Amino acid sequence: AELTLAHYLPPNHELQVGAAEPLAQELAKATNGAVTIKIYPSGELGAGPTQQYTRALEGIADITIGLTGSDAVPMPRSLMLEMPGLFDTPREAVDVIWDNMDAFAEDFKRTQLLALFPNSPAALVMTRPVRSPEDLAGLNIRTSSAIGAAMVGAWGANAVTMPANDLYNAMQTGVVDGALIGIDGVNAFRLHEVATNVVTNLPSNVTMFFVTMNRESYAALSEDERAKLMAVAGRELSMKGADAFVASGDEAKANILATEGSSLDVLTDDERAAFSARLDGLADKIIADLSASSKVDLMDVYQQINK
Amino acid sequence: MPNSVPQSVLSFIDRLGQLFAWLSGALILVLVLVSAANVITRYFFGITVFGLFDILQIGVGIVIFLALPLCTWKDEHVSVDVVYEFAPRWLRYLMLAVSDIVAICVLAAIGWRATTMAGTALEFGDSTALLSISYVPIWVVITITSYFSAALCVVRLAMLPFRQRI
Amino acid sequence: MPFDPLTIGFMGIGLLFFLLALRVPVGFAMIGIGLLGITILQNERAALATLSSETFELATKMELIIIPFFVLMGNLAGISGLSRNLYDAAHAWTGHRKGGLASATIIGCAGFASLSGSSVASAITMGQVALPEMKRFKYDDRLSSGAVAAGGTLGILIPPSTGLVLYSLMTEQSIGQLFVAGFLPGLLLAAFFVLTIMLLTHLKPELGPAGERLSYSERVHQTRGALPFILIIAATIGGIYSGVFTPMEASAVGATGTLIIALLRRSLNWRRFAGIMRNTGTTTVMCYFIIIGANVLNPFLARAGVTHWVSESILGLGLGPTMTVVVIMAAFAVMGTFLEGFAMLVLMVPVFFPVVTALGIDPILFGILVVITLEMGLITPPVGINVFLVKALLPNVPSARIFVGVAPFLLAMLVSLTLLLIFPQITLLLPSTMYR
Ligand code: NA
Ligand code: NA
Repeated sequence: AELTLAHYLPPNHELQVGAAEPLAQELAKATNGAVTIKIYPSGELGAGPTQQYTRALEGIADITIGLTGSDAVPMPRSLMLEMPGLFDTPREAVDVIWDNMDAFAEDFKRTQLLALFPNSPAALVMTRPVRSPEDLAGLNIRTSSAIGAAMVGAWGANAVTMPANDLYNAMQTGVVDGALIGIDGVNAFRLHEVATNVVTNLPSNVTMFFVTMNRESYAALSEDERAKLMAVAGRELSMKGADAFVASGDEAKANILATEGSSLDVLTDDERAAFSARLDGLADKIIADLSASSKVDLMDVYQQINK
Repeated sequence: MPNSVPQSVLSFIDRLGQLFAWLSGALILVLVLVSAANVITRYFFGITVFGLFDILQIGVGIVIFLALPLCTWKDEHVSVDVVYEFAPRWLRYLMLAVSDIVAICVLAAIGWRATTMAGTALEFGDSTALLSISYVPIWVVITITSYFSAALCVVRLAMLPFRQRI
Repeated sequence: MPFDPLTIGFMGIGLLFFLLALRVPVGFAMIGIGLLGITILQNERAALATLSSETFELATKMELIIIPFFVLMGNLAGISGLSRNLYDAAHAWTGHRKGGLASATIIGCAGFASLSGSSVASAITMGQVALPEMKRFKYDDRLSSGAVAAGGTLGILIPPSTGLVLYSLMTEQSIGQLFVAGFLPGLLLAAFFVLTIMLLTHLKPELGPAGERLSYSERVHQTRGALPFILIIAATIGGIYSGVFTPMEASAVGATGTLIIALLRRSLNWRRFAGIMRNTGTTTVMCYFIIIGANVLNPFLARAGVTHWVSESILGLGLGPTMTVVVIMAAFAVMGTFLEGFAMLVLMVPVFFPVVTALGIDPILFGILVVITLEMGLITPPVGINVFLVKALLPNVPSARIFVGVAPFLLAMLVSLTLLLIFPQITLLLPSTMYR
């Protein structure tokens, strides 16, 4: 069988190179070429991130890659993984996720989940130095999620939403003073050219990615093929996704260091604590809001992953 | 225009289509003003409308389909006239009929799918990322305007044999 | 399956052209073929899901909101007399020369192009102002109609441009950079149009007799009338270039500014306002249906392997970047003779763009070249939308005569295209200095 894998990212994106292509190769190898994957990048089978879950659900493609937070279909349980301060590296997140998969499975139940993993925790990519929440007071910070906006607000800044493509321009001209964004995003949008300070080791949030498969397509595989697919998917594929983001984060850091006038500021643990202190009680409030809007009791999920 | 459909019905259709299209333009104007106001408050007061993105997203989603009935009824969609210009009358009738039939099929498909999606969005709570605004109204507007436009094409198709000037 | 996917893909394209020839609206035809094709290659569930997910994705796409905003701005600019001011200001400086009214038409068109995203709107609006004037001064109707039809095409090259919004959507290029890139080529093209007029009236003075000479103070007075237009340009293009606004914000600010001018000048009564609202709505839905159509058709073509096949075939010719661009432009020009501009853009760009990226051709430059080729299509027979519009304004002049009138301007376009291809700097200078 030839399976189709569709995503909306460019063909040179780290997930295509670091996750989608290796998945295709390993599956073909494991099944001796009986099951292959043809990849359609760049939204060839459908543009943009909001419809990726639906595309797998309806069989537009057999497999799709999407963002849990940007999909039109809400995935409230996996959104708990984006709560502030949970993870410092994508790899540790993948372990937590797959050790507690029962907590998120409901979000994907209409499809067969193949991978769930985060990018690197968000950094503050700024046009001025920031070492404490006081330095952020009154600044305009771009963020793309409700949780990110709540964090930015708790630190005393104004949350601004805008398309990521506009960010470079907006930072250059002071429309925003910075962004709370995964450090891998620095590469994608060339932010090292406009940022003076990239602040890491924050009690930060991640962005969750899913790889999911149409149920009928999954059922159409033989039992043996399904086993071989899940052996290369699952935690295995999630680690690949996480590693792809680590690699692109490392590249971003190298770019920042190589660019004159932009510095990589790793917060000390004391400085980090000051940011954490401002987030006290924020989780409860976000969870209460999200539970109300999604009609799911998310506190259980949060407590299970935040042990 | 002598035809099989009473003049009062045609005039009603026309007014309803005009009203929808008018609403569409007026809502676009509102979105323009909200966006411009956001620029001004940001520059002079450092205030941004949180979730403006979400509001515009829902707004434009609702707005763009509202003028579909009038656009379809007035035959203002982009089409290629090159054969039509030189076609004999009988062929023109045929071409207009084919156009309406294709339009009816496509519009009905959109309407039918939008109905399903409205149900799904309602059941699963599909909503915007920041303000959790429901996507249901967008699908409802698409359903109504697509079915309405398909119905207009049916009316036009029924009138076709009675049309003198084509 | 009796046919392989690629064959089905080409049969789909054949059927699409058949439907287009039957005057089926472009958007509906593309959606219909897309649905049919995906149903054959996969199943009807995937086809219908593609329809709804693409409709939703595009209907809620923030980058596209620029289209209705700039449509509204163009409509308001037309009704508030800004087009008249632009023409009068240009006329004051050039009217006393041979062919000066035609040159003023071009300059007015270039100015109005920066208020309107569409060539059609530019041609109609400036045509209504300029054609009666040129008739009054006994201009040859070939020159006057040619100037309006060709000048109007500038609407889609000089930013804002709905064509460039579509291109940016399909190629994921920065709309801000594309807009800024269109500026100098637009001025260059306008300059070539004016040169064409000067040359024509030099050779045949009876084509465009000189008008009256205005006093210096009168010229200044007329120029002042066009000042609000300068403000709008500064707010939109200046705002995008300097990065003060995002393109979306610029469109909102520009439309609001134009509304204020219209209100201050009391150009809006209830009837006109209602008319503008309706027109903005129908133009918007018209654009969106073409975009949705392309996005339902393209997954079918990708699945069938057509897109891949085309790019492999062209790359297989081994022509090198410049010659490949020439070949692609020629294909666009041929298609442009009978396809409507938007339709051509959404049909052809996704197919050819992979070739462009594979050869390392600058995607911004390619976008501008595509738009100029699209402009040529607006005035070439048999389907030349701008010629038909001018014909509607001049019912007594045969279409054939207008097509003769635009021929010299087509030549000017070809010369500009060649220059832009040889000197990519003309296009890329402004975007490369943007935000720095
Ligand atoms: Na323009
Ligand atoms: Na043409």
